Amino acid sequence: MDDQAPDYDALLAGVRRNDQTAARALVEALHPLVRKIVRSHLPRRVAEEDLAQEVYLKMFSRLEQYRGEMPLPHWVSRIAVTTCIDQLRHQQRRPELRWADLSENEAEVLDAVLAGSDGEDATDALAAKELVRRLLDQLAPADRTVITLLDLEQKSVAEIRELTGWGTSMIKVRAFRARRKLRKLFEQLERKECP
Amino acid sequence: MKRPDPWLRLVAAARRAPEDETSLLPPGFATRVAAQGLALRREPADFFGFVAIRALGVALAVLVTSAMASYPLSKTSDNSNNDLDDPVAELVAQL
Repeated sequence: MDDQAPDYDALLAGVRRNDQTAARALVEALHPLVRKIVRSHLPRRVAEEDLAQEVYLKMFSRLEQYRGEMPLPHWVSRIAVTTCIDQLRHQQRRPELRWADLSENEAEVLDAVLAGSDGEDATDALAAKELVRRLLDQLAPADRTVITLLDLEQKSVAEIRELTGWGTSMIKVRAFRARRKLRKLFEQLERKECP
Repeated sequence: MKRPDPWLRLVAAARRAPEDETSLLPPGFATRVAAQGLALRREPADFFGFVAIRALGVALAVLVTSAMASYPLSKTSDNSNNDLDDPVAELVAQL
């Protein structure tokens, strides 16, 4: 495996000369990072590939604004996160989550977490991941992004600040609001399961 | 006793899910995106030229349309002026 970090300066210089090979190499070098961000913030009914493409096109069109104050991957990460938030904002209606919509595995995981235990095996973990996605769909785009970065990706507030450009207090408020909404959703699901 | 937060339990379980490590790019993806990206970087000058030509076309269309729309009006107003002249002419004739 090639562990060498890509030479971003050389690739950028190539892109600025309109070198197609350098542009392709830049996309290939950034793809693991962009794919990871896009995958964890992907809205419903949006193809991962389309969203990744949008991120790269924004990157190319704004490349003149990149002054090298931060490493290129950080700058591209921010573009990726904000592109995902924009896409989430376009997602109009958030369907109400009902117990009946859950798969058998998801319902079991939900039962388990409500009862105070958690999923132990990989199947439970996959079902939990899907259930998390369904719950996140119920949140406002910015709240969803904060809670995904904070709780799923376990990023610090400082890292989130760097990725989103939001202030510390705004991040904390959004996290608080998202957790309150999630608690409410759990209560609703619990009530509907045991009327 | 405080009940454990179900959300935190759920995300803890979700984090244990195996990561889908397929980081392979779809065939031709990087080439296509690189070509589009470079085209986008060359685009601004062409874009403004394109917009300027379109704007000129739209301005001409608006000019012609407004000229056509105002023509019958002025014709009508001429007629109405004629109509207004008639009573005066009649009055003068009576004098």
